[in-house]
Amino acid sequence: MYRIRLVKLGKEFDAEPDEVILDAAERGGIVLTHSCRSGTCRACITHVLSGCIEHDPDYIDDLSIDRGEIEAGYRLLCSSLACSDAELDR
Amino acid sequence: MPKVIPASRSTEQHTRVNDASRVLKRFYVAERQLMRYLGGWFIQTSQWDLKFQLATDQWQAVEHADALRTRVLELRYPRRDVDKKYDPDVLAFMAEVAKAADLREFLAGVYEVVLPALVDAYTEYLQRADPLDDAPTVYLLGHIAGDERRQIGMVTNLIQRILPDRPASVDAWCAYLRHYLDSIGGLSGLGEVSARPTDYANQPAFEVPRQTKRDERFKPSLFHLPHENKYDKAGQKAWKRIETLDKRVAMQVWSAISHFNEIWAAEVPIAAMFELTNEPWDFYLDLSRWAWDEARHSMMGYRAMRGWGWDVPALIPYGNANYNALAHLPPAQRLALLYYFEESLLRSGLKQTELKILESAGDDGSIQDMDYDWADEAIHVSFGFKWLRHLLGDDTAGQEELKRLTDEARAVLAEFVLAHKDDEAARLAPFYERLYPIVEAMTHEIPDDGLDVQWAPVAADEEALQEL
Repeated sequence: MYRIRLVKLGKEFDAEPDEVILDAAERGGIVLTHSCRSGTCRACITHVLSGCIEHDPDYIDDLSIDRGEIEAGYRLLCSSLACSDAELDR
Repeated sequence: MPKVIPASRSTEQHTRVNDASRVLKRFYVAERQLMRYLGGWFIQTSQWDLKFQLATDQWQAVEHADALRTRVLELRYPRRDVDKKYDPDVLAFMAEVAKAADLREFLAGVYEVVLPALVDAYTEYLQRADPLDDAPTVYLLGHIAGDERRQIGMVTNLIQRILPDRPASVDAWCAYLRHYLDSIGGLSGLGEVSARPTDYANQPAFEVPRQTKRDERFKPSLFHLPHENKYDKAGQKAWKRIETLDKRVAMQVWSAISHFNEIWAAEVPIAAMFELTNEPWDFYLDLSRWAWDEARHSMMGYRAMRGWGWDVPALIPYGNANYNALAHLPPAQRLALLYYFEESLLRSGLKQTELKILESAGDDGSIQDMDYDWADEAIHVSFGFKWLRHLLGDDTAGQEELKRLTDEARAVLAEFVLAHKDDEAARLAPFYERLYPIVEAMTHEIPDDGLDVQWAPVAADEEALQEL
């Protein structure tokens, strides 16, 4: 179980290693902006400030995010999994 | 001497794979071009009911084309050839159909000549096709023919209601197109070929209009909601009165008018498809869908307002500034601005806020419309993301160019607003002053559910965009 902190909102929630971040947030009572839930609409794109959040490797080729954005630390939360405690720019 | 046993059945030569794929490719090209010209005339057309029908039919044509294209490729057809080496006769015929002098002629050409010819050609193919060997084609052609018979019926009824007069020129135009079709051996290419008619040889090729007009039943309007024109203080004041009734009421009205005016977002992708002629097939498939979705959203708004009993043309602003202000820009740039609007609004979370307010209002129709609109917009962002990177480059330079084009297009739109801020057609106050008493008279009290959502519609979009 990892602890995810939303810096701007000042809220935290737990995420299982195989749990999509958006779902984990909702399980923790936090509804984050989203739309498609499949990594294509970019509504949930978020900057990861610290920690390890990676896109689900099963769907990585289908996501609407640039390599440059990934390298800059952005992730689509509807298609991402935690691999450590993390802080998000939300 | 070689020995055989008798053939179990006889077959027609043209039902062999190579011949079938050649004929089906002609059908694919015909449907593809039909999509193109239905789309072009969708922009050209102002009459609301016919415009919506053309948007619907252009999407059905692209679905038909896609099914045919897939089937052609299944029939040992070279992938590199399926979108090249189009039959020039079919291209020329379809371009001829689009040259109609006016909407009445165009509709007659498509719904009295082209679509009946396609249905006949599909029926003839089905009569000869082996239902076992060529079963996938039999399945899809039967469905396409069914769609097209329905399209013919729909438009025939619309014409009888909206354009009942039939000038002699329409008969002459249809006779010419039938003669032309005969000259190329029909859409299957299996008929006798004859001399090509030249009656309309000097008619100019169809071009997508740079300026679009709205249905003449509506009062001329550049904009539709006050956030579009920051200079229109009187319009904002008139709108604010509706807001004072209740944010739920304002949201119901706002969403219906906003949806109705999404028609420009249908026109932009179609104009891009029309002007960009050498893109991968999926580009046309996606943008055609994008356009049809936006036309459906427009119909959602229209349906909601009609459901409230409103005289929509008399009451509602139906703007054309968003299309006309940008029409001189390259197609990728117009698409970039549309993508910017849709992506920004999804990222802002406004759709969720709007839906929450409508849920509080208990307006089932508006809730469902907004919910499906939201789902559709998510698809559109994926289309925009994919195809703008294709057009501009999937690298840092491409992204910088996307930003540059978007910023420039936003500036062009802002300049247009400034230049037209004092136009009579830019004033929204008369619309909302007429609408207010009607809305007020419809309001009724509901139990307070403690809705705690901040929504200031006039400023909402602009603020949300600035935050991103």
